[in-house]
Amino acid sequence: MIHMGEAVQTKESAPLQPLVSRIFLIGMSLFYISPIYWMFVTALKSDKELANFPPTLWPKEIVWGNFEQAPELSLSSPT
Amino acid sequence: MKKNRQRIISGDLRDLLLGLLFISPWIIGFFLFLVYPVLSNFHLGMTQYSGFGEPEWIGFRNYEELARDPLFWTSLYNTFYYVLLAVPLGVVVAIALAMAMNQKVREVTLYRALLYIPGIAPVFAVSMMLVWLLNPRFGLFNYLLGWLHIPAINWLGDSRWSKLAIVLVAQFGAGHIGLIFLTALRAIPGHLYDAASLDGAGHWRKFWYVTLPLLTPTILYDIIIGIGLGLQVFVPAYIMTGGGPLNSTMFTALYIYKNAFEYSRVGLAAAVSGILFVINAVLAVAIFWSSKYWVNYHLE
Repeated sequence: MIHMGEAVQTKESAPLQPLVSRIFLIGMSLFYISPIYWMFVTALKSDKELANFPPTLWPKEIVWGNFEQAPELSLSSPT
Repeated sequence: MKKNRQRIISGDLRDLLLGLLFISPWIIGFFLFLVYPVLSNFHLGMTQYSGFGEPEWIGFRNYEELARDPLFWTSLYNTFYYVLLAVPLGVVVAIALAMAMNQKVREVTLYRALLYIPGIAPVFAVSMMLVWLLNPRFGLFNYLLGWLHIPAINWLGDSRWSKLAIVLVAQFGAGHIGLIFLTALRAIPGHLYDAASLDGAGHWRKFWYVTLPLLTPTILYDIIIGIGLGLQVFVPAYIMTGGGPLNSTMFTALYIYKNAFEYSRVGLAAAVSGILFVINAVLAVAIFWSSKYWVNYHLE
């Protein structure tokens, strides 16, 4: 009797466990990738959009200028 | 007979010398870059030294001054606070990740890669990103908390939250430890779970009586490494808060850095380094000693 009851229980929980794991993994992956995502998105935003509140999750207009300026800024000495 | 025995001993001696010769690159490096700096650091801790000129011997006066400096005690308190929070949380997060990665999820390799990325990114880069993410006005985290109707938290500007923000940064390394736990999970033979099932154990009991005991060697490793790194926590505090607000993130390593390179008190900084070294060594030995009561080496 006990064994039968348990067999039913494992049958029910078997497909559930990968689902819970998947949700957990997706959530944690999003959290872990957020610094890198935010780095690229911030690089593509205009200065004006950076000061927006609430922040935009994706740039309204993509600005490539930061990538053009970065090598110039790093080459010119700060003093 | 006697001659033969002598030859064996000299043969052993020759093997020993040859062996030492083979590992000499490591031995020389160990003494030159680890033993010598540690010993010379203790010597430096007994001197007054500004970084220029000659160190002046002053005996234990640095230690006396440290005992009177409230900031030193604050830094020790902050460091222990951080270690006590970050290390157990790191173990829990890593085990949870490893358990999830061990399930039959088809695209699991994708998650493994994504979770590993922050672990190989430089800590200073992750810290820089976190400064943006945790920004009270423009940051993503507070924006997401806003969705849950949680009021904005001034993560790095509020002394109640600043240490937690640093603990949060440390958790980005958990994907790396998670993979180590995953290999430990994979090493657990399936027949132990089958036996547990036959005895009527559910998921929770299987975890508690089979999985966790067999993970204890890995937990021991993680705790020792975590305490060693946690006591030296520096980069996130240096980048994100600079020790503030109200010295709430003034960790001992940051206290050492400020004394040595901002106030030119190298002798005092060396004394603190020595204290931190001794604390770390004592804790590591104590945990190793305690391991015989809770670590299960049954599989090995």
